[in-house]
Amino acid sequence: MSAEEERAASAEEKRVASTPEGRAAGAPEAGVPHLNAFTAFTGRWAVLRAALRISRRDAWRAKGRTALIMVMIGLPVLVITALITGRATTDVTPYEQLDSTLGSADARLITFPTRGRVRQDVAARSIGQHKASRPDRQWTPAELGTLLDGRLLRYQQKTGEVRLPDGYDWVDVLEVDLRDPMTRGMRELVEGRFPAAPGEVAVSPALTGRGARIGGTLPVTRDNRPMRVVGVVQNPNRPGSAELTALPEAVLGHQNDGDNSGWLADTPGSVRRADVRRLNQAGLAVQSRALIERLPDDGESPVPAMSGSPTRGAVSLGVAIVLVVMETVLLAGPAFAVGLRRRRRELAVLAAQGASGRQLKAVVLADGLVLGGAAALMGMVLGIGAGALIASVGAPLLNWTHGPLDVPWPEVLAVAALGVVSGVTAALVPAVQASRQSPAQVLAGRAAVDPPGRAARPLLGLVLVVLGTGGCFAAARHDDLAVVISAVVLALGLIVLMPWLVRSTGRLAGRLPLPLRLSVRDAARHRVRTSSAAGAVMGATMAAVVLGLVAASAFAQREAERTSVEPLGTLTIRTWASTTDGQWSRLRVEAERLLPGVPLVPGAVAVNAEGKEVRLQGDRHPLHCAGPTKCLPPRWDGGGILPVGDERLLTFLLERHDPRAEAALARGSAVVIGSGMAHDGVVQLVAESWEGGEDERLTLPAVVAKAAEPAQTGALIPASALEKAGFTVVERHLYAAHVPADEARLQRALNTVASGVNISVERRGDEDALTVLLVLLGAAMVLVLGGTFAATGLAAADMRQDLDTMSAVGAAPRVRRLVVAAQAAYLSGLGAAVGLAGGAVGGAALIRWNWETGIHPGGHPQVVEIPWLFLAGLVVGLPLLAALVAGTFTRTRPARARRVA
Amino acid sequence: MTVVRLREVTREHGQVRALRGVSLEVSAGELVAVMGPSGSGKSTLLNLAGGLDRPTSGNVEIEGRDLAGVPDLAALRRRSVGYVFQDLNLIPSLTAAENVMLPRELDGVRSRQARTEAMTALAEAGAEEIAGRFPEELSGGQRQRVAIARALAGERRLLLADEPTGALDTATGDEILRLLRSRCDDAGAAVLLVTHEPRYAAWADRVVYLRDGLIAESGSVRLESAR
Repeated sequence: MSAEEERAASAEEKRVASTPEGRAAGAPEAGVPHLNAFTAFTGRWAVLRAALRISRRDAWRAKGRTALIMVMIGLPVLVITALITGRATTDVTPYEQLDSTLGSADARLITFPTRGRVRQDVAARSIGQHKASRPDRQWTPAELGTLLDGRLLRYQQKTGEVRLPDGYDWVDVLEVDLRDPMTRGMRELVEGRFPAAPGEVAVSPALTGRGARIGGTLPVTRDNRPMRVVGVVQNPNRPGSAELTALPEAVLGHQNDGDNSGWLADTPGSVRRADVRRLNQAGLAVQSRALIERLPDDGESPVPAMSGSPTRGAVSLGVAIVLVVMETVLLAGPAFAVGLRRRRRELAVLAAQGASGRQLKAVVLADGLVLGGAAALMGMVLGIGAGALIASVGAPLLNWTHGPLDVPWPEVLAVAALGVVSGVTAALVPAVQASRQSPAQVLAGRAAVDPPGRAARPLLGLVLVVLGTGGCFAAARHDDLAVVISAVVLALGLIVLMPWLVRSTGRLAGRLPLPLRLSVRDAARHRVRTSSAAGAVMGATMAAVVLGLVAASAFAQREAERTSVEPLGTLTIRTWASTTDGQWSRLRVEAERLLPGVPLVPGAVAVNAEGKEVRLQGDRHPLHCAGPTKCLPPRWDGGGILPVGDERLLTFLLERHDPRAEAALARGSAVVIGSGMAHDGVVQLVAESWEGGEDERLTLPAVVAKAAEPAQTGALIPASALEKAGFTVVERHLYAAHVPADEARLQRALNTVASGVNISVERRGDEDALTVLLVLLGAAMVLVLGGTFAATGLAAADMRQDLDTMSAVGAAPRVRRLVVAAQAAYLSGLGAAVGLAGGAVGGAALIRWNWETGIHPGGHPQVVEIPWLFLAGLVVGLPLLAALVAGTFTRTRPARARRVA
Repeated sequence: MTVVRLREVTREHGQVRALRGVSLEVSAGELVAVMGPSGSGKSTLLNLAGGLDRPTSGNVEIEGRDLAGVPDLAALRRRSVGYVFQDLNLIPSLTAAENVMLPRELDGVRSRQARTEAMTALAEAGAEEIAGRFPEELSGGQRQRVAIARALAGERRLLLADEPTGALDTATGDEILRLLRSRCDDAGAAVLLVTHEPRYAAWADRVVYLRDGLIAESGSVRLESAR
């Protein structure tokens, strides 16, 4: 360069550096020594704007991929937002309940049987009182008038029985004159009118659905007192409740103080804190409108309450967030990986124009930001709508409480922010790949799809797997939360290992038949896409395996611990000794009519000398038992009631004739089923009155009979022995080997004949295991198939050219199907197999922890139940289903060749 | 003034030596055509000249600065070098103007300023009226005009063109070469053009023939008759 040229070059350099953009560029090579902070910021903003513009337009161009990512990220946001909005809406604060409890009154006075000083919180949700030994006289309106100025209106609220077409049922009863303006807003009039006379009631919509109708008659209480239905009214905060409203004392009769009765008060001014204190002092609790209206909104907690300490709650929440974000990121990951692959050349052109590695990374991360942001926004809006819909549909159908739409914004926005974080995180690996790609190689078409990178170094993954596995087993004896955290570490380790596993399994492809070979090789080449999808499948499978193992073992443990004197599938109909003989006879007839063809075996109850019904139980402390479970009388800690009966009941319980036991029973000996309760030929019993009082102990001779089934234990007591001990015995139980289709309906029907009828069915402890496992399998299926189909669809689109080439050289359409099916089977199978291994570790640790807990310290049966069918369905069935569906819905016609313009 | 200078440049890809000691200079206002059979090292030469790749040995200078001492080649490309390729030149999701302003925006220039510069560059390339269109709405020739405008937007003086006429018909190819020639003559740009076609090489001030990674021949006479 000549001296003149150098001068020119130098002048040119200075000119560039002196322009605003030259300064903004501010890179060291431009010769500018320092940066102005503002220009640096605007410079970065310009880059971000450019990156966001590219992402936005690109998202619009690739609509299918965009929709896929939006669903993957938006769906969890939608579901969680809907849940917390629905929960906040159904969680009604005292302020939101003001209308339904106070109407337009200024205060609600709650009475007590005694007039000791009352302590209460502002909303009177928690009330305490110094108890007096005997009730005081009842409050009168005149007396109340001396304590509080204003007009009073009596209310009574309790439950009562009504006779509906399918039998008696308990319903809520509100007695207040709803025509009074003071009750405005307490109940909405849906149809007809409010009750105006003592013989009139209004019913809630839930009761109209069960046969009550305006103009009809509704029998209330056991006396079947007829009430005319004049209207349908609804509790605004409980639209699904079954409720009767009537004038005071029309249904319930006079309620003494303390029986959910009191007065609504319309006062000249608002009821202040001093008034409340005065009324509390006098023995009344008060709900004051003015005070409740000023109450801070602390009555709702949209995040489900965590058990234990706040730290444990926060850690549990953190674990849940990590799991949801991880699964979301893995599900959306393949779409971002494919997006990057398609844009490689575009990014290389950008690099050629001067985009640095960081700027290329920013362009790809902007994809995550744009798609994550849009998905989170859409998920949030739809989630709030869905939450409101669930709350308003669920309230009348499922008898939930219901308030005005309540969006817990901090939590909802946090969930949306997590959606954005998920989007950006899912774009992270492709972004790093984009920043590392060599533009020269990409432009020359020489770049590998996914360069080996760190996949060949599985060290980090192995360390995490070892830490997670070790942590699981170390924590298994101490803390379930620590086990869960260790299992999350294990899962993260397996995810980090996944690229290495994909690479390693890809090496085995050479020995496979063509379609499988092609699929596995393709999957291994597109390692990021495959690892992400297989990781998502792994996560879902691992969670399902852990929960499945724990649930199956817990159910098996429950069944192992179950003890019962009645054989499995026994229906027991019980009523009290106080039921009259006439009612009992009618009850038997009704039972025979409702259970046609089912043999009913009678049993009896004992009444002591004081005329009180007693329950008979084995008098042995559980710690004296020889074995861990079977020595205990059934339900020793509660209603372990031993049956009283004759040889018919004995045969029923033993499910066979046992002449020796029958003879002993006839002689007045108890028949002990299994050997647990009898010692030295006698059985010791305790007779405990239901109404309290002294327990009576008695010792009866006993013979031991072999149990009909392993869980059976207890004893059958002969009536003659009890009568000899001074008890009266009356037949009040019925036993049948029958499981009714609708227990609640049977109970209602029998209650129509005599009150206090209770029915129970002896069921297996693991009866619900199948349902729980099926629900788990269903949830896992959604995630496994969702992740697999998304990744397979993207892979099939990526492979279209290869598949077209195959078709062009003569491959049958079947081969195309097989290739796509094999792709689905490979990635879901790999994910499921790894998930099974991880889940087995986590599940085993949690089962071990379960052994340490429970009511029998040291004596818990150590049960491990492996639900083989469930695991097979999860690990073999779902991948096969994924392959089948993917293969079936594959496009087999090659795309027509198009010339590039 | 020499805009780009390669001195004894060698580039090896593993066992393959793509370039073997090539020296070349392109001055401001000069259009140099690089010709040669496939695999002769033409694209590698272009990549090295623009800082997309680094040489195994030898050195490359752009506007007097040795690239071996430049830590951030991307920034150098943003400010000093423009590339034009045969196809896939433009980002499909950006309009023509946005494509042209992109390098400037990446350089931190504010959008309004970048847009003004882009419109100037498009006007100079005769593509002002298509500024708002997306690449898929443009013809091949129009796309290449936009790519050339982008390559020369801002202060950039070195344009590296890799078969820019490869996907175009002859008439359109001529148009593009006329544009490149005018950018050399009017704006003082230095253009290094890789082409297979002697017809287009005729627009150059100089033609360099590469064979097996070596400059086999260098002719400095314009082939006026071929235009």
